[in-house]
Amino acid sequence: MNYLFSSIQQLKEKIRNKSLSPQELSDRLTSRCNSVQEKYNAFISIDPDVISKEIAVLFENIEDILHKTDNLPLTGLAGFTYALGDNIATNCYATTCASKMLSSYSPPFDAHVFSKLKESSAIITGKTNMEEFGIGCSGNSSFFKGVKNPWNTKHTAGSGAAAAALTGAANISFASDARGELRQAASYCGVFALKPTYGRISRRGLLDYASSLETIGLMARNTLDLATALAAVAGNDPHDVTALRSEVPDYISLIKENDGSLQVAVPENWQDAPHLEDEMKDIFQDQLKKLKTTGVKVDFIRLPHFQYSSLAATIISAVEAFSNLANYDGVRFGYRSKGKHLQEMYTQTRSEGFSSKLKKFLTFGALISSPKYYNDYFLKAQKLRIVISDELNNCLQKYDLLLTPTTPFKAPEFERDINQRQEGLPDPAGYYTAATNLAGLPSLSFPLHTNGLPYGLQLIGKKEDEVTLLRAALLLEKENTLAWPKFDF
Amino acid sequence: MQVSSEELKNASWDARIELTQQEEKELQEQLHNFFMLSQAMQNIDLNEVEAFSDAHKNQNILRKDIVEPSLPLKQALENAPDTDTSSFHVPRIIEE
Repeated sequence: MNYLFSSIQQLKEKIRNKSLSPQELSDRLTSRCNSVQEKYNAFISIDPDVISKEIAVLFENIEDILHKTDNLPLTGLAGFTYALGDNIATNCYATTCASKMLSSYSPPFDAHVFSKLKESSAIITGKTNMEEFGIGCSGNSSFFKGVKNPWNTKHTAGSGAAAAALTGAANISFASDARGELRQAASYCGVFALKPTYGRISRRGLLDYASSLETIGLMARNTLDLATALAAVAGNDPHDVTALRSEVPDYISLIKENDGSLQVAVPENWQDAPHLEDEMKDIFQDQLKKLKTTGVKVDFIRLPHFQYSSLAATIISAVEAFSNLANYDGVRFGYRSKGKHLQEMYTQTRSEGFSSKLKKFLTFGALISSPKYYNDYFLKAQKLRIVISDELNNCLQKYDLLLTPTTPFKAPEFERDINQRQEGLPDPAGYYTAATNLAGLPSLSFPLHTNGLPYGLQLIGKKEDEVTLLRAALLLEKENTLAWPKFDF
Repeated sequence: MQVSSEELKNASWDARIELTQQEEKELQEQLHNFFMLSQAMQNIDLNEVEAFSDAHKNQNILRKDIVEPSLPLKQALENAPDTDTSSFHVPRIIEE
């Protein structure tokens, strides 16, 4: 049985009628994760003992889980496999943020999202590789080396979370998104990704670099899995002041109530993105035509400041990173270097513990928040955030969704593309994605499979309206054939 | 706009980071590109816009002031590179 690509219902049935043993399932899952690690470097930690313990608990409790109807969002996820980005705190696994600085760090607590997942009887397969501290998607700053794209290993996957979701090493991957990293990686790997409204999923236990922009998001191979997982982990958390207090909608029921009367807006200057590939232009235009034939109303609208969103998000995130990462100084946790006195120890520790890319980014954050540049750059970026938010919110008063490509280009090639364009200030990959981080709005990347590397289509929704995004993704799933790659493990 | 080497050194000191010569050169190139791209942003009139550090404009979110258990000492010290039974050890603070 190819459990990892079968439905959860099929799995539950097999557990119920005992045609699958815990050991068999545990061995298959561990073996798949090890293969994905070996071929693509998608994981930082895989622990077969944790996997087999969680599977044993699932088998023991399967009848209770199937009969519990009073806690549906959580039990709906029972038997799902999931992976967590390595900047989400887990007490049972090291949480390294893919940095030498935290390469042996074991958090004394679990992230809120992980606590909820543990309650759900879902099975963690491991902690995924990423850019150091989740900054960007270029594949050149992880202390554990870059993640290879399963479609073509010469190209970056963007993150191990995306590679894990694509290869079936997890039904759901959770990772962070501060300027679009989650959605960009999903686009590079051709999987679905949802960055929820800021605060919809608690950020407690996320070791973030840009607090005001960053959320935990999800990746999967279909819309329904995204909805099921979101329902299980969304909700208020008294220990996160930024968590939304509003009730979590019943995503699973609501997304099926689709009357098909979507009105969609597209920024009229969407083709101005630097490095926009011709193939992406053609694919995006094809999608617009396809949507029109299904009765979706598509209008081109003017969003004059959208083009500055990546620049504003880069400035804000660099300044926040300069502040947030100041506590990695070798005193309370993490790597420590030698130094004759305290200041020398701080500087040596941070210079050796951070990658070259992060050192430059933090120095940029320090520079741009210094008195000489503060008003003209940081303060302007904070004001632009409000202007861009207002533009998006006004547009979404009239339309259900805003539509753009997810990234201007497909997954960059390690040797050729990455150094010349992916370390830019701003990173050109974030041209379309950063606006929703500034505005705190939800957005979804829908995979577009081609003959070569995939692309992504970005849908942006109103605040707290993940339902419309998921409904639209269901509609797109019907209209697009997804040609998943075959794996020999 | 050109950032002087001294400005960059001051910024990296603020971040407690020492850049190599190569890193300094690479950052100068990135900054050159950044300032070029930022020129258009400088022309946008934002005088009437209030700056906000949070898109949802949240302010003063408080919860009830109830004492909860804090992190036990042992756990707090567990990840530190140099400790004794109750404190973190650091090198001397004053330079020789």
